[in-house]
Amino acid sequence: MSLEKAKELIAGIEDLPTLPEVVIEITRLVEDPDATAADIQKLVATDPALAATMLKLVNSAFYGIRRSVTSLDEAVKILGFVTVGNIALAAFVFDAFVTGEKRFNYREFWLHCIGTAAAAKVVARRLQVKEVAEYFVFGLLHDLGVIVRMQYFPDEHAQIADLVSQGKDLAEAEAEVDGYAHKDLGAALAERWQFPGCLAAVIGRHGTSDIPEDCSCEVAVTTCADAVAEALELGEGHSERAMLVDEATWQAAGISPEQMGSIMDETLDEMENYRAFMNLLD
Amino acid sequence: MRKVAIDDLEPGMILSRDVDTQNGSRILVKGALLSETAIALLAKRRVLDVWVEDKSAVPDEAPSEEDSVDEEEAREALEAAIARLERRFEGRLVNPWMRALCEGAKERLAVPRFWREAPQA
Repeated sequence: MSLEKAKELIAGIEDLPTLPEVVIEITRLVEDPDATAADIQKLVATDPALAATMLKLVNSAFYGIRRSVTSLDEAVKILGFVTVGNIALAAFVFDAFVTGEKRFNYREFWLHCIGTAAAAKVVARRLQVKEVAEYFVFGLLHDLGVIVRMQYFPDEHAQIADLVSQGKDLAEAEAEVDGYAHKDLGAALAERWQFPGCLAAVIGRHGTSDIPEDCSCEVAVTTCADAVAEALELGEGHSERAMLVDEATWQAAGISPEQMGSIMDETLDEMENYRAFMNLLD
Repeated sequence: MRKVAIDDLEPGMILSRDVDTQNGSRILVKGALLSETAIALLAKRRVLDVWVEDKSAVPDEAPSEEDSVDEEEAREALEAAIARLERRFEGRLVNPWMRALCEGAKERLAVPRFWREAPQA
């Protein structure tokens, strides 16, 4: 089973970053029914770099407020505890992995992640889900497996990229070179870091027509968002050929073909909100 | 080139100047081929009129050679981008959503992506 192989590989990485204490504490705190926004604020204040990245993400994830959010307790009030917890995870991943191996174009890759985050937010908004910003984080981190592979298995990643540029489907190329998919690598890491339920599901199951019963909406929306971001060429996607998303998945995300145009327009508009975030890439 | 009111725009016209909104964000660029969607987008953004190419009218000023080269380049780039998209979606147009995705992407190729612009000098 390729997931098993991925778990072994993850277990074998010696210098895999551990989730910093502060991030673990944040994810614990957001589950605590007695926690207050001020508690989060105090905690994150101990790591200014993390706080700064979190605020940039917060301001990207939640557009539409007149002034930008400048403190995390404010963010909690606006976005809710769960989302702020997910943002802490996203900020950590981003800071830990934003640049690395010189061979790969990280900028294009992160642009794709941001594009997927934008599209996911747009679709979630139309569905009127409870925490739209959560879907932003799903989109942003859905390709965690790719990030890990670029960083820790660069030779394999380069081989896969070559096969893909020659026209092979990503899944085929991955099977040929590695025997596991980037989704499996991501799922293994999400498990190791104990990511909350739907975030782990999105990382491990996006792009497949195998939608899990739990988190079906979250996975379907992220898959569709991935396809939209790729079609609009928001950053370089996974392959030369468009990813095929089946009827059931589009329907599970609440999207009809007639809505595709306005979803694309809104996604392009949404990208305008991420200028500050993009500066993090330079 | 001539100025055309938004109500008189027709698909197939080509922009001869960039279109910006009041607060300076760029909606469409010079050389863009106006589709139904692009025209709707302009209307949504409350653009009142745009400059389009018009070879038959007497131009106010003789178009410079540089302008025509730019337009030509823009059109070629757009055609290349359409071809690229069609290659990408070959064999994938198997349901109405995938078809809508492909058509939608083609129509929006001319919409500028600010993250692709070269940094200002």
